[in-house]
Amino acid sequence: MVRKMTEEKLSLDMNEILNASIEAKYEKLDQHEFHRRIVESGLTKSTIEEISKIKKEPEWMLRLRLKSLELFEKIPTPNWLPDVLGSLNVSSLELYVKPDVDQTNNWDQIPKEIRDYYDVLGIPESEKKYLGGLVAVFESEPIYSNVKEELTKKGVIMMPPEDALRKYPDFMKDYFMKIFPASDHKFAALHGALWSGGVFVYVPKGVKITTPVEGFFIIGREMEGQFEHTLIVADEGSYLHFIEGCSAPQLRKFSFHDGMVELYAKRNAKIKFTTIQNWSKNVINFNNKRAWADESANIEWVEGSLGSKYSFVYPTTILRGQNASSTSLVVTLASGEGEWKDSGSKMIHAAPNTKSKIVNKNIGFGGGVNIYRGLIKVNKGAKGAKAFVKCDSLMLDERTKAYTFPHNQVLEDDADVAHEAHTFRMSEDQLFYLMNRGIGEKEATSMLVLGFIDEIMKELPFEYATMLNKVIKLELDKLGAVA
Amino acid sequence: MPVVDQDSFLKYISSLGSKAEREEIFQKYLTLPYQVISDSPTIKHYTEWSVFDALNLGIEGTPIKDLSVPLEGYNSFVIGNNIPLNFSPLDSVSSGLVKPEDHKLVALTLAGSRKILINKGGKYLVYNRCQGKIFCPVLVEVSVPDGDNVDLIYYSDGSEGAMPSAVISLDVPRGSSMSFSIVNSSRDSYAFTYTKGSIKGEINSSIFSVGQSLGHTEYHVELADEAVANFNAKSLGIGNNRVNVLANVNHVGRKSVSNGVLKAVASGSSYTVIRGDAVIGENAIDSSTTILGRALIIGDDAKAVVAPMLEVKTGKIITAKHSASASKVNEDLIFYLENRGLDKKSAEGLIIRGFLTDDNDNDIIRKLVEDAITKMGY
Repeated sequence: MVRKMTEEKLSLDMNEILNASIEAKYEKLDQHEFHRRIVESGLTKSTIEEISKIKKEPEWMLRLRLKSLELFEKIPTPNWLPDVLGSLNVSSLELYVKPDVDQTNNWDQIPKEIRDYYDVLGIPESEKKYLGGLVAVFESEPIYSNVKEELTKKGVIMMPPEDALRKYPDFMKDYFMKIFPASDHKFAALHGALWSGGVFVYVPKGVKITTPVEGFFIIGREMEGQFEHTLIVADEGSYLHFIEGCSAPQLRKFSFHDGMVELYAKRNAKIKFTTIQNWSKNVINFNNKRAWADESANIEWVEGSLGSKYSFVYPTTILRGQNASSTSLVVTLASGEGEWKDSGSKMIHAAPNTKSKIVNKNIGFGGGVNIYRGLIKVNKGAKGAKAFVKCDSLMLDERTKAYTFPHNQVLEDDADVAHEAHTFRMSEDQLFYLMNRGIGEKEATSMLVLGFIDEIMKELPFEYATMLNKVIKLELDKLGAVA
Repeated sequence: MPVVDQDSFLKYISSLGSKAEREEIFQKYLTLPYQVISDSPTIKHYTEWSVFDALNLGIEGTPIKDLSVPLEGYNSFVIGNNIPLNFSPLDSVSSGLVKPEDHKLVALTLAGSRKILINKGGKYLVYNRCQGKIFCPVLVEVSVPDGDNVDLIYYSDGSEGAMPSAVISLDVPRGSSMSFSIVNSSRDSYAFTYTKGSIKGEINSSIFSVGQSLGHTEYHVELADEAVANFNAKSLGIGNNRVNVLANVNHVGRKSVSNGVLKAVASGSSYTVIRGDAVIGENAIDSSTTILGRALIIGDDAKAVVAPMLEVKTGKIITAKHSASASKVNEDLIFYLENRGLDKKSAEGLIIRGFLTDDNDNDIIRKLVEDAITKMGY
């Protein structure tokens, strides 16, 4: 049932949507019944039409949303989705809640409560000092958009996708959800139907942006889920480092996040995409990330998945042009009972002489579960392709679990694919060595843990490395005595 | 269409004992799905089950002439087209550790098979020869006596569109050991082999599959306290073969150890899959597992899949690691040999031969490896 609270507010029962999806696993629920349940949750064709109308979207976007809804109902639920998601108390989704402020590009005009969230996270300082531009997302609708003059001069476009739809409709039509089609899986389709807010960036030919650009996502109030969409197009020979930060204040109920990131690096372009995900511990985080790399382009994913209770993130690069390359560096931290970090990178080699490298580091303690689910696929014709995967899990206590599910599919004889995985516990010898030299047990443990993820830490900008460092130390404090 | 022609299969099982039980198991076969979980993010099934379903095989074949024991020095059980040559099998469907529900084709095999029971120490060979468009099911149950050793080779040999199929149950108690080989040899034919073992002592296994138009081999062992499992699996695809080998170890007890080597060669336009899943359970503390996977791709249209998985459910482990790689024959090695006077083809042949041969291979495997390498053109 759709409850219209105000003209612009629609409420969806996310709990029901998730429950129905879990029950539909292994095709246990037929499509007709699934449809009935989804309609009951409030997610109907008319809801979608309403959203599209409020947003004044072009006709094709409405069609894309409706098609996505249709696909969401048709596509089977992934088998690996943990059943426990069906038993959570997930807050309803208040769709398109417009904050009581108009969009601004001056920090001081933003109301104090909202600003406080950002202040705790240290956003304005870092923005002023260091970040090139920022689009902050608060309650689905960008309220703060400031692209520094310099970038504007260079012709860089950075704005919420809603604005981009109005200003550059044809351009958006060419790229929006083309890299990650809604037909890919159930939750990509759900995203397609409900997306709202996010960032769109276009970097023109040959423009290299040396300062990183940040989009910070925050789940604002309790009744809030986020379906933000990030689309970055780097034209030939350009360079961009984009930092996606995610955070949410501690709320009572679970909230569901189903975002999407699409990156397109054209010939010789390079995109580095860094995510520091530190949602509060009752967020269910789905993030659909995919990139296209044309000839000689490079995509670099760097991801720190620290927060949230259940997280499903699989950065994927499709190496479409020859000599394209991609790396993916991921750190996940599962630090509490039942915490579930499902991650893993996917590299699809579709052109000759493409290269990829995946490094995945999982840290688990306190009964956390880390899962690596990866794929290397070398298509026929991708001659001279090279791929390397390394996934390591560090387990700090007995209750922790670590799973590794890699798939290496090689359809071309002239390819070289290597994979290694190692699961180990904290080395008592190393700990003993450090403690013998007067370092306390806690300090020694965090030294070893931070050493374990050093490879990825090196890739982060200084501020973020410090933040990651701090978060991991705080988490380790919960651990108490190890070994 | 099903794997077997239903009427002749039902007629055949009514000529065997335990008719009612067999019919019940056959019903299970009809209702069970091949698999419920997709194998990978991009490929639904690594084994193309629909190919089996289109076979429509018979079950009663004509006796095979010049059928003989392929390897001397073993207590042998020779069966040709479902006709036992030198022994009388048991008419029982009780299958030890394996249950009909384990797999659709396990149910089919159990419904139509007679049993070979091995419960004394010694060296045994089960030779399942299958020729023409027929289905040849066999059930082998091994329970090694306490403190004893059993050496078993299961040799399935199919030709001309046949489908030898086996269900093997292994019970190795504490203080006992077993050496176990599966040899799947096939010429234009199909095969299914399903093994399940409960290991409290030690087991050394080798699995070898070659030449299957479509072959599916599964090997599952469960390790109790201080049990040891070493295994090596080799799968060889020639021409347009599709070979799928799966080796799983489940560590249940403390201080259990497993070591595995999975090797695949994909030549011609074949499709070769090797998979392994090592599970260390919550109570299997201080266990260790190491699995190495290696695929060699030597055909322009050849495809290889290597998927070694790890599921570690306790943080108190000694080590859990795996590695996998897929590549063509190393150019440096070829260059080295060419420098020493070998031509490219012979150099490649030498490297492939080295890759596929193990010191402890039995004579059947040695011969099959040689035949296969010749067939690949080396």
